[in-house]
Amino acid sequence: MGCRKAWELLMRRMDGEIDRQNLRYLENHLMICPECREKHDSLSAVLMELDRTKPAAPESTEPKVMEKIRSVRHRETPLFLPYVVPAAALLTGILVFLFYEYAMDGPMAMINKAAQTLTIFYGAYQSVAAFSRFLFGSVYLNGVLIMTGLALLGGIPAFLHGQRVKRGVSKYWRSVK
Amino acid sequence: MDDMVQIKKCLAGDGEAFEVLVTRYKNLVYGIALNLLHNKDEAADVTQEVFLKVWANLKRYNPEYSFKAWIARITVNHCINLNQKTRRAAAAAWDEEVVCRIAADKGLPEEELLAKEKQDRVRSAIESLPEMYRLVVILFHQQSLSYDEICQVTGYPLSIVKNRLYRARKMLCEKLSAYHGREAGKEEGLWAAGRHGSC
Ligand SMILES: [Zn+2]
Repeated sequence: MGCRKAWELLMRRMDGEIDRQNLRYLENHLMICPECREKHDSLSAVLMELDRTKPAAPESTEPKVMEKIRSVRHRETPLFLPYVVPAAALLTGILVFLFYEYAMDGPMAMINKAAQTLTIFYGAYQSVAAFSRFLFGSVYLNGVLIMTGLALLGGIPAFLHGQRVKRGVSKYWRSVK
Repeated sequence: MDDMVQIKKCLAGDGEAFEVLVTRYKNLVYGIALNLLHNKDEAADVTQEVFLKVWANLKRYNPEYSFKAWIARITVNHCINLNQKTRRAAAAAWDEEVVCRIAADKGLPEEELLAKEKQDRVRSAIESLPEMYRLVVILFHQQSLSYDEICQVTGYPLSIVKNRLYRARKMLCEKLSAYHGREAGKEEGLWAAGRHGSC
């Protein structure tokens, strides 16, 4: 009598969902019913054992995990190259552009001479400038062409390198998984 | 939540913020792994692997769910995969440990020996539960996951999770009472003796 209800209440108590009134009912029943008391004691022993034997991970877990993460992060850094190199190339292009457009006409005749001695480079510049003049009717756009050329020149190998590193990292993760 | 603060820091590139999460959940991961793999070294290895997996997949974590449940789910899946790969006599490793412990227990006072015996009995009752029942018991009663979180870990609906836990408790009662039937007389005698002595 009442054992079924007591069991239900015991389950609810183990779920932490029992109200005061039902708790009193359960406690009263446990006092008069040795069978239910035995079940209650068994389950209490289980909970105690689970609490007592709660496993603790080794102390070395954090350092080992963090070391691995750091090494992977380190290998990830070349991935930034494709972003850094075109930006650097662009900056160089702008400087070259400014140098040719303004410094040449100014009082820096010596630099003008020095630049003219670099015939191949200057010749290339001249033909680009001529092409630009022919194409856009303006000499100023040749700076843009030079910038783009430099950015591509630096960017493509850096991008390819980045892709290769990235593939290596994802292969690593596949092996971890 | 506090977890979310750490996760956002990690995603923003602060790798060191992850250490806080490792410290917070390493016992959970290790506890589940030990329970499913029955081997301390393997459980320790799996704990590291799980955290690397968590770190690599952090972007995919959905904050609508509990982070604790998410980590627990990754751990359970990882262990299940591992067990499938190397189907081995898991119980053997456990028995070995019990045997070692029993050998070391010799020379203890009788009272402590009885307590140890009882602990071993309870432990073997827990161990004898079918895996999915044992897992639910461990998650709820040892790792303090809520019903909701256990649903997220196992992918089962609430009704099944509750049913599993209730049946697991019933099985534990039955297993332990079978023993009690054998030993009840002895324990009652002890209890009575203690009672008389103190009165
Ligand atoms: Zn009863």
